[in-house]
Amino acid sequence: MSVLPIHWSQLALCMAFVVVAAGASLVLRLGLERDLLWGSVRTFAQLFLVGYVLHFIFDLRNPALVLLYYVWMIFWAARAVRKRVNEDRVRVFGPTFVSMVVSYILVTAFVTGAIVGARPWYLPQYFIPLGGMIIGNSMNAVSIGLDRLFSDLRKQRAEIELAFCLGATYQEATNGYLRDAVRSGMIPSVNALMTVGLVSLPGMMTGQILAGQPPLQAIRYQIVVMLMLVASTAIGSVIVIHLIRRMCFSKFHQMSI
Amino acid sequence: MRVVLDNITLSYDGAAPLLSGVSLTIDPGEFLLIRGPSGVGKSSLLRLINRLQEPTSGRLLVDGEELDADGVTAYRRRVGYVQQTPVMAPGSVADNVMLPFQYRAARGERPPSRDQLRATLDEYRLQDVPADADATVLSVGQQQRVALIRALMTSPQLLLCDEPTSALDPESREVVEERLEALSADEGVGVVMVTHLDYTPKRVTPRRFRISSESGLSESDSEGEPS
Repeated sequence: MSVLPIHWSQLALCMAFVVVAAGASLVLRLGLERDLLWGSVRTFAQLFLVGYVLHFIFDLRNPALVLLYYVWMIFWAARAVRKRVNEDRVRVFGPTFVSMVVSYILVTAFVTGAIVGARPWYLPQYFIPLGGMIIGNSMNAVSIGLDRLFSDLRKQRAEIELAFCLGATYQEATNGYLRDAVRSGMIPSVNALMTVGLVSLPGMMTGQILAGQPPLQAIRYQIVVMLMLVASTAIGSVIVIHLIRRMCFSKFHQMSI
Repeated sequence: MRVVLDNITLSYDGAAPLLSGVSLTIDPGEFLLIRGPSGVGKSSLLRLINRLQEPTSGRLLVDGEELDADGVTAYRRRVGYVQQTPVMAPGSVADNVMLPFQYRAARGERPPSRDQLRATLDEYRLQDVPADADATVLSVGQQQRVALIRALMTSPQLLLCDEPTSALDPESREVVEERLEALSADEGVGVVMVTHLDYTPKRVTPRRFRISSESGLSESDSEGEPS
């Protein structure tokens, strides 16, 4: 069984949703009509653009191109992390970007090559969607973790400096805060393991079912995805938070934020 | 241990310097008293001495040498620092006093026994404070003494005290002052004390300094007048 195609006329019909929403906005004076319209245009434009790019990459099957596209996605994720953390004393972008690139490429390659068994391992139909899920998920974990790290270090400055006065290294003085930061970033992924399938059907599984896969096959993929997300979240946040913590202190074990 | 501040300047975030051209030598057993209005950099001076604060320019020499990154933690272990507002880590009085031994710098050293700890608390007029009491809910005066005891745990060679007696009753103040003087006179520990109180040590002749925003750090004669 294959997926039912959607034609232009059907897409146009979809615009009826926008018209309904815009109508509601007008009647209720929500002032959202312009945003709705602009948002719909962007949805069309961005997704068509991505569609064509992916079509092109899928056709070429060139490993360098696949990886380049992956790095491009990570670039935007690292930018989003920097924006959300909003820290002007420490340059968050560089270390986040580099450690995401290294760790996520390794995790994704392991999943596609060793677990799913895609041949070649960089087969873009597998590598890019799986990798995208990894990036999206751990981008959130990294932001939450860094947010927590910065706020703890600032709040506990007196205690950290007390530890320094007593001869502690910056690691000894802040290991507890580092653990809390990593943990807070990971909690959403761990919670997701507990509720998956009960609260909602995850997107990947839904997609496969829509594409005609039998549910028992779809859940296997979903299990792989869930575990992969927890692992990559852990690896990504541990590396990024370690690197950023280092940057919050001078080499003489002084606070520099 | 001889500590030298050599022409040190400190400014925060590119603002006008808080301290400039500060030079100071602290020899073993010396007792330094530093006075000055608030906000002129007395606490920053102490932070510079134990390298909690990096100078904007100038050098800090310990026994004639500049510290490298690895040397800083070992150096701080040899420098006791009692902060103006006592900081208590969450936990009991005993946890706080034993805190230095948690860190690698002092891991080889022997922490005091419970009896020794009790005796030390009594010595500082903390008879009413159980070793298991929550340190964070003690009065400021009690915390000041716990902080001093903690700083002395690893037998520092230099002790920096920022208003260590500001919240103490006269009897406790005398106990602390006698102890600081004894450290200097009998054990050769250098003591640098920032205080706004009138204080004339009995057993040692202090070197007196003033800090002001106009003239920076200047040594005065024993009466407190500029020499």
